[in-house]
Amino acid sequence: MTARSGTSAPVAGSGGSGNGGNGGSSGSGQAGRQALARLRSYSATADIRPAAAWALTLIFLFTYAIKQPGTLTGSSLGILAADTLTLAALGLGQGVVILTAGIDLSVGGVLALGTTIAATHFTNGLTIALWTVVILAIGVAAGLINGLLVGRLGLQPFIVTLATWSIFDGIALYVLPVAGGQVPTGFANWINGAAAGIPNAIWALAAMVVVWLWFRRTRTAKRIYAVGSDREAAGIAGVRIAPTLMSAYAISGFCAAGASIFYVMLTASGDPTSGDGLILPSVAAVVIGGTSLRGGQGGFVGTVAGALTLTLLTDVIFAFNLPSYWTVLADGLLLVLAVLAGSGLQALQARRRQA
Amino acid sequence: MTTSPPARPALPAPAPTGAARRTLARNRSVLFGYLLVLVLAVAGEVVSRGFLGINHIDELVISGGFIALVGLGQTFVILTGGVDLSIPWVLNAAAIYLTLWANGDSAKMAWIVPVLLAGAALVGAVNGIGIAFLRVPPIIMTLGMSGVVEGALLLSTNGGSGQNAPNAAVYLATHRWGPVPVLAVLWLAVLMIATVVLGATPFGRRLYATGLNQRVATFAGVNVRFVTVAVYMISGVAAALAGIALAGYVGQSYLGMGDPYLFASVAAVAIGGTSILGGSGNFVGTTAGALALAVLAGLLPILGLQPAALEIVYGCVILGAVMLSSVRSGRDRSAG
Repeated sequence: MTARSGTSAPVAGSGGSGNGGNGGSSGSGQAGRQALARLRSYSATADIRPAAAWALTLIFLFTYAIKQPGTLTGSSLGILAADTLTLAALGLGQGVVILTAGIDLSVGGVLALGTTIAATHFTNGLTIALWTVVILAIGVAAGLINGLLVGRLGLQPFIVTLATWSIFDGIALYVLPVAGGQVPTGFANWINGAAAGIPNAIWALAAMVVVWLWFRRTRTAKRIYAVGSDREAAGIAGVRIAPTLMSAYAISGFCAAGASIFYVMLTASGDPTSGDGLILPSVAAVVIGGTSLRGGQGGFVGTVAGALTLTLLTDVIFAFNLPSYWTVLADGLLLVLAVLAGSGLQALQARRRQA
Repeated sequence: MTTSPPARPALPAPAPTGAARRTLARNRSVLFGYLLVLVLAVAGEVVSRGFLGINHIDELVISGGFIALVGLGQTFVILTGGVDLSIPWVLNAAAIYLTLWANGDSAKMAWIVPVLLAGAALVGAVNGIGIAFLRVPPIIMTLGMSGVVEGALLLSTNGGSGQNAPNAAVYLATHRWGPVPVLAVLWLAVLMIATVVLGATPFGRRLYATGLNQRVATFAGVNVRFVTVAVYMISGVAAALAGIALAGYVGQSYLGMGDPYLFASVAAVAIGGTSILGGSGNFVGTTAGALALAVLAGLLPILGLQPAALEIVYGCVILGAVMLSSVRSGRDRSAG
């Protein structure tokens, strides 16, 4: 269809990777070419923000390790990964939506609903498999509804997902009015287990990164990046906007549903209010990871670092015997600071490019 | 905006001008809001006798007033094209600090209330400065500040929930002048002030201009940054006022008492016909939305629905109202 430029992973960010001209019939050749050139120009420079996020993660890790010897052993890292999984999964989906310059507040509702269903319906291997499929399907359906309203009707992402967040929170309260329920011990223990000497949680985290690196090269991902960089140019280049947005929100719903499974494994129970406190961290993980709120730039490799950083922050706060209430305050501060740092870096890069 | 309107059947003879049509549309949504209140209230009376009894109407007006008060701040913010997600924790913090600091001593309210309102204004100012000067998107800035306020509240109170409200707050929030509750008078005053500020002051005009198009407003000499900081400060103060009044009305404060008010404030604004994109709408509409939500909340238990249904209803109401206004504005545009 159209020439495909470099498809480097966003963390390397060395080559231009914005490419949107897939699917549909391209408009007139001239306009299409111009639009493509415009799209490419958005990601032409190296983005150091994900690398900065990983540096931050390492700083936190070593701070924690100094205070708490034994942190850098396999089992401790496994626990860290297990604690990070829920947030990482949420951030994976949230990141895809933010790449389209949108936001998904409904991940809180989907997560809450998922945990309540799991905690009330998981009894044995068969029901676990069956209801996991149901939970994931609910997540996808929720995302498709969001995507339909945002993509087809052109409604504001925040208002649509605020409304569906409320709706799914309400349904979760119906399924399980107060925190509780239970899941089979063997199922919950998986997250603390290990395979081939490596903790399962680390395998899961690695699997998410691998899936992301594969996804990053698919046409769907390229359309998502294109729509987020410049919706108008993407449209001219032949990207169908509405289906692209729907796929992004569907991915987010799926990931939030998956995150609810991790949450249930970690806590061995469900909670209809579990999602409300995770919306801010999910956005913060993405933004700390270097994904631009304006869309089109960033990816999950940075988000993992963001999620690890936020998890380590809790650990560090604990290690220094500070009240755990610092966590939510620090989450909020980090979110705003990361946005400011991100836009500051962007301005700096723009100035250097001009010079 | 549109290039060429689709071919329409012959226009009705004296077509109203675009402006007149827009005014009509705006009043239509406000009228629609009050009609909704009426229909829901009558439905309540049909399902359960006494729903429209004078005592219950009091209760509906007061609980609607709380939604309207937080909706006031949300209306101002949304009119400029923003949104304030920090309302629930500002409200909650005001309620908890009031009860903790007063510790039963009503006289202390003389300094506590001004301090709380000033603190809320400060939170709003930080929101506004982040949004107007540092260009942080409103949703991110207020989400972040919501976390900061929540964290600061939990830290300073060591995660403790609140306690009983001082007697003066309870007295003011539940007292009546003759048959009229004091709170109802407060709501009426708020409604009138907000309507005058929006409709008949230079600040109101600048606020609408900011919401319609920031760049054009700037060219027209509007200090967009000042307006933006001001609306978030108003939103913070309104939320704190609601928290203080709520603590008095309920008689105590507790963690989580602000939670329902995020969805409720946005839903009230949306029902009231204020455009989520900013620039059009008013507080009279939001009041209708708040009353409709209060009546709805009173109706649900009568229909045998759990409180959980309320959250679902809030969500559906927001979606419905936003879809309706999007369809309506699309039609207006293709007609104008």
